[in-house]
Amino acid sequence: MASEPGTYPATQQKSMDQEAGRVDLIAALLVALVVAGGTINAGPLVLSDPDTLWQLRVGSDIWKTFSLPVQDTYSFTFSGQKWIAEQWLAQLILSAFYAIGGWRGVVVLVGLSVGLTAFLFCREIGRVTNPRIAAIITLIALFLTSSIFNARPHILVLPIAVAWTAALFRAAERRQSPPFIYLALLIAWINLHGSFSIAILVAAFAFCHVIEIHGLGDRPLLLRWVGFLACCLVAMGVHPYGVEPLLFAVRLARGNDWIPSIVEWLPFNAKDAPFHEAGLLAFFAILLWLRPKLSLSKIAFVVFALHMFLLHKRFVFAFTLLVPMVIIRDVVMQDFRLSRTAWAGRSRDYLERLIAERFRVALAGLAAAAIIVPFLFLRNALEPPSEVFAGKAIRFAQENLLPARVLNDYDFGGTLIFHGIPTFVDGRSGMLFLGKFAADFEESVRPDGAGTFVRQLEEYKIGWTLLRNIDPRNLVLATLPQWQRVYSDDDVKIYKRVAEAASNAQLTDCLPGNQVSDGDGKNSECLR
Amino acid sequence: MLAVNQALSDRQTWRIQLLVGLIVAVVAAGKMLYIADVVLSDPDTLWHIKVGGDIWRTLSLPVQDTYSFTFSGQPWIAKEWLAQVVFFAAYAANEWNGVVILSGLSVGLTAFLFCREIGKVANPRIAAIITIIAIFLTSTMFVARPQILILPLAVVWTASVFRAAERRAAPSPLLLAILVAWANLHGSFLLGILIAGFAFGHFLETDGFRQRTMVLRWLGFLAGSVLAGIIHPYGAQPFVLAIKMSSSNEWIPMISEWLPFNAKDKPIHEAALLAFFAVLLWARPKLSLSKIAFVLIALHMFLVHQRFIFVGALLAPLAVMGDILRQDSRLSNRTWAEQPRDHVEKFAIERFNFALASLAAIGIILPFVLLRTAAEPPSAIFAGKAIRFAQNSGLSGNVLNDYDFGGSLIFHGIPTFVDGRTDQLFLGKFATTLAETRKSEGAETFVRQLDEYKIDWTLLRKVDARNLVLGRLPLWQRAYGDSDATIYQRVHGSALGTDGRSTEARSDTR
Repeated sequence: MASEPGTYPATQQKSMDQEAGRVDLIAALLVALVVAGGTINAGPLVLSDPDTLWQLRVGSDIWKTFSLPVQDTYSFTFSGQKWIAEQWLAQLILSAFYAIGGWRGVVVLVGLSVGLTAFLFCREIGRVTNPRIAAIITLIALFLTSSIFNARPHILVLPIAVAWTAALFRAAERRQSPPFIYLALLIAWINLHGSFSIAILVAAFAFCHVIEIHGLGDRPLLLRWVGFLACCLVAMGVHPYGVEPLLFAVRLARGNDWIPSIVEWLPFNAKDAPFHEAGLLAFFAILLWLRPKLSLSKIAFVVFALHMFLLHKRFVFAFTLLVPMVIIRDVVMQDFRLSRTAWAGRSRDYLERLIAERFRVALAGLAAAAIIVPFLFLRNALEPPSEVFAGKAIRFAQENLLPARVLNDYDFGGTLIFHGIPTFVDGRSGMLFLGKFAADFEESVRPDGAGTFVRQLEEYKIGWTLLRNIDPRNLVLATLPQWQRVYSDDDVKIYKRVAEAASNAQLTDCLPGNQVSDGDGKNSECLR
Repeated sequence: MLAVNQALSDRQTWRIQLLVGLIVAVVAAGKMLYIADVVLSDPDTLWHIKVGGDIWRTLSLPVQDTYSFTFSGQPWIAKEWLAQVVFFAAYAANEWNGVVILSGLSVGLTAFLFCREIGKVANPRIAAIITIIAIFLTSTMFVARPQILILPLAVVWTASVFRAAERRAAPSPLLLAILVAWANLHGSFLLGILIAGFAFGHFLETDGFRQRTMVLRWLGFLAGSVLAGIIHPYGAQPFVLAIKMSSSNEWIPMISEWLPFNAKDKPIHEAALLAFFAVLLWARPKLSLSKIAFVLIALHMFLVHQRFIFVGALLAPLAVMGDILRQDSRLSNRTWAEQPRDHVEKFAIERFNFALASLAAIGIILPFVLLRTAAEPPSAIFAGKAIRFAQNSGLSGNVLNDYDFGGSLIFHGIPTFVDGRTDQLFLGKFATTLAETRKSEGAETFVRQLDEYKIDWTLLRKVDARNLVLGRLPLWQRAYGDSDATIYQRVHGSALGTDGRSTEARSDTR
């Protein structure tokens, strides 16, 4: 467009620009629709995270009471301990969509957020390259990010993260003042999800890029950037809980007792995630082949994002969504054929002309498709998969076992909270269930931890257990005379305490973990 | 510069490079001797030595298994026979110290060769730093096993084929001797052929088909390397096995060296990967597609299986380091050679013979200083006391052993239940059953195994959950336990009865 102004008369140039802009927009909308549709179609997968369930409950409690919790009321083990709903805004939004549309509403919300992310990402990539490449990159990037597409607060942050990174680095490249209006996005991010420190880091990298490229000569520009960074720091306190979420994020960054055992915090593993490995290798290959000239700040950002992803799969979005937007301009610059300028300067092909001429029809068609997609893909009733929902088991418990205390699997904590049953442990392990509790818990699930497990049963006065079918603790329960299996299905077994038959001291002797192998007689006694 | 001066300066730089290479080699080898117990910590070392000894004594190569009772008589070949014989020779010469010294020599030689190769493009200081980093990253696989002997070969091979490609010439056919040795030492020789293929790709990319004879000589070389891969007492069998291995088997997911890279367990490797990536982005070397493909294959192999770290850390750098260093002339060998020699360098040149002699002296003294106490494999895999107990107390009959104690059992001449030779044996149903018995709900399968294989005693790790099952079986009694190993023994003729009873007792716990 701008680079070859002499080629066409001004009016023709203008109409060409308009045509190209229309094609861009339609391409981005189409990609967004595909991504959102794909996500909605994978409804059960979107709902497969146990944390979704407690987030919904917390959101609706905040709505009902119009107040934010400051202590735990959802578990019996840590009831009354300090706990804050730092992601209150996301919880409210999730529960609002649940209230309106049930599980379908939640899935639609995720689809909307993911679709918006794809749209913004594609628009940003499409600024420097042609719509076809932009669409392909967007689809690949979103596909690789889809491992974190579930109904939890972070999903609402994705469009914000994309818009934030794009805007800051664009300002940095163009030697402009950072967009102060985006601080509103940052405040939203802070109230939605604890990952807002990534936003600050992105701003810091963009600032370094400004200094590296433009030097320290432009004093007003630098001052505005420094002011912007200062505002970012201040914005981190704009939260009903004040600076507590910030302190919490800092603490969590140093790890806690649960992080090594939670799937989303696991490191990247090439064998389990072959697509991510292929994406990573292809990314390397492109960089090695095209040899983009990147500033040190951008290199640092790429390496940092890669590190986050290698260490914790949950941060995949920093690498798959943010890095491409930051470096795409430098990569495309290495080969003119890839650039948007090259494409925009050519005459439109048949399909492109059709889109440009029938722009309104295309828009209307996309809108219609967007409305039909949810109805098409969400025809059947939707529910979280029973591995995390355990609906039948919970109904059984509600009818027969309450109000006795339950010892539950970590992954059933969400559904218990959702159904209003106080938990033994649940997904809020960022703030609760730490220290000795975590250590004991970890020990109790090991093959030699039966002794610890039995102690837990007594110490917390457990009346029934809700564990996965394959949980080795069920085997221990089966050997305890006071415990009886009262329910089981494909996913869950429920054991119930029936009577105080034998004394505990005697029992623990017979447990595998406490096995004493000095006498034969004793062993066989334990086997009844 | 005058020709005489030039020759003089060439000799000076040559001396310095040689000394730097030797110092790096002594450091690397010394480190190996210093961590002797880590070098000996792999259970496979033990059976390799035993097999090597048997080959030496009988002067024949095995064609069927005689070391386990579960797969005895099944076809099994000692495809790494040369490495096994070499390791046995080292063991026969000086017991475990000999094995450690052999490993140290191999690593030292690798470091020397690597440093010399990098030193051809980089100044000696940079070459030494890169070598130490590369050797350090590779050190996760420095255990006394056949693979350690092929490292120097792999370095020479990779450097030579890529050098030939860069000079737009074909590699010397003499190099094929390296591949023959590689194939007889370790099953990874397919990698050598693959690397030659990438070098050929580089040659074609830069030179095209202009030199018809060169292309033909390259093709001949590649064909020759495939042929070299079957110059082996077992013929093409190792070749076929290597191909079969590359498509995985039941054991691969369970063996730690085959596990994928994991950034949390290997922070230093992650840091190196990120640094390498940052250097590539910053220096922007112009790489041919073939070299890019080689780097990516190396990265892929490392990400999927940690054991292939040496491809990424030692071999890929040999192919691309020249291109990287050429981006900044300050790092290059030539810039350095044209500068005047500094004080240390002058000293090294003048007292060259003295420096060489002292390095040689250090090389000789090091083993004596670092291996004062006789090295022994750690008891976590050797289980020396437990095995002595078994031998002394007349425990006979079939043993059900931990995977990692298989090597020690073979070494002590006791037929194993399972051991590290899982590339050819213990496959299929046996592997899946064994995996099941190690799960917490696999007790029944385990008890069935005990009866099916007529097990009379077990040699398991202390922390093994199967010991808990044994503890609950009336027919079984704990006979021995230390901090690493526990031995359970089947009690015969006990009042408690029969095999049937033991199975029944197990099902009670379900």
